[in-house]
Amino acid sequence: MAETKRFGMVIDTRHCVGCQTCTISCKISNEVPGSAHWNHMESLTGDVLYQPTGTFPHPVLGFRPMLCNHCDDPACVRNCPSGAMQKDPETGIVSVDQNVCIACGYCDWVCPYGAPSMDDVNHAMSKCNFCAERAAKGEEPFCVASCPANARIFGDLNDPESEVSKLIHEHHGEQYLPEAGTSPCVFYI
Amino acid sequence: MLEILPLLVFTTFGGIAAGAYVMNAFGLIAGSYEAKSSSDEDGRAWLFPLVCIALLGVGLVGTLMHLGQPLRFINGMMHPSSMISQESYWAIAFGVVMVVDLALSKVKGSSFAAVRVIGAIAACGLMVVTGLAYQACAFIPAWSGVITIPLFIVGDLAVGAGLCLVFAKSEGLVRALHVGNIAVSFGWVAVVFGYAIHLVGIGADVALVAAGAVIGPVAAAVVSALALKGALADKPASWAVLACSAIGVLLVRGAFFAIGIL
Repeated sequence: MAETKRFGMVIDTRHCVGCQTCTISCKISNEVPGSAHWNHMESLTGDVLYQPTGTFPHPVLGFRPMLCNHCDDPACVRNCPSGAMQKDPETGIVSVDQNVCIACGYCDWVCPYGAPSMDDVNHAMSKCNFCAERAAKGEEPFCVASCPANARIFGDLNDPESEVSKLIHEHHGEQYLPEAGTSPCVFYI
Repeated sequence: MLEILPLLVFTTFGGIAAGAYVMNAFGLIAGSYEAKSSSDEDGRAWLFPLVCIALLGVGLVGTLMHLGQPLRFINGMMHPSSMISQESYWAIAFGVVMVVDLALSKVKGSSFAAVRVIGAIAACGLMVVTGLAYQACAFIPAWSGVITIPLFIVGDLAVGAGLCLVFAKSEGLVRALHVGNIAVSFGWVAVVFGYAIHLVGIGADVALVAAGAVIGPVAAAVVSALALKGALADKPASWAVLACSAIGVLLVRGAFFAIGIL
């Protein structure tokens, strides 16, 4: 097992029912202020959420829960003018230092996943940090712990024996928008 | 709509100053100015850099309006690989050269061609980096096209030509600038047309961009052509070119920002 961790997540879209418990749990448990949100939901199969695509008798309805992908080469870190966006080399977690952020919003513009969300209470950018304090204690992020469908699995991508590594290997987990070249650490099945 | 106002203020006002310095230097290099800037002719060489400093200053106020933490603006220069930081570096360099130009012009009574050319180089850097900063937003379709880069550069040159015309006094210089304005306007129309095609490709509305093209470069070129034929007096024609160019740039950039982030 590698010495440094590389936290990542697998989201099994076959299990996701689109209930958005992850979104609400994140917002409440992390006390995400104002209108900021660190999780959101997109349609997996079409442009409109909760609207199936395809034709009878084979309609398809799928969901893509979205959060920060904690990329190996994050566009937000690369493009942040203040250095407020940082990637922890020990865990791979990408976080923002609100005491340094100038709230220019550029990280949100360059992020392929629209992950950074402006905290309009503290006037600084905010984002998912994989519930870093919980992760440090070996606990799951709130979104993972609250998912009623067990669609989210969290773990160390550097550990080949971790559940996330096995799932990615066995089910050919795919990154979303890999063409962005940021090497995201969230995989979808 | 208020969200895009600071971006519009910065890119337009800062862009006018940058475009004017480039057009001014172009005139110097082409010999049209006979080694003089436009405002040298009445002994007010300092006026051109002063107005450009004021324009860049207004643009920087726009930048501060955009920031959620304006008092931390110095932090925005801490990461050289960021396009926003690079924009800051070029804006500061451009500002410093303009201040030097202002001081030398005030002391000497006429401008230094070398300083104007250095200012134009800094202005070019600012225009290019501004275009690159928006083009780098790969997942904002209205911005991510390659056309974004000339959209800023040529737009700045068009409105800069208008500002230079307002300062011009001698007949030869006015004619040269009108010819230059017509040439830049043709380029600006081509770029706006290219951007409209890009917008159509992503399913966006092009009405505002089309209006900007007609009111901006087309009208500005027509005014210049009429002035060259002697159908319009120099002073009103110069102000009309500036007004048309500025309105055209504002409309096109307004559409650019609105489609991108609203």
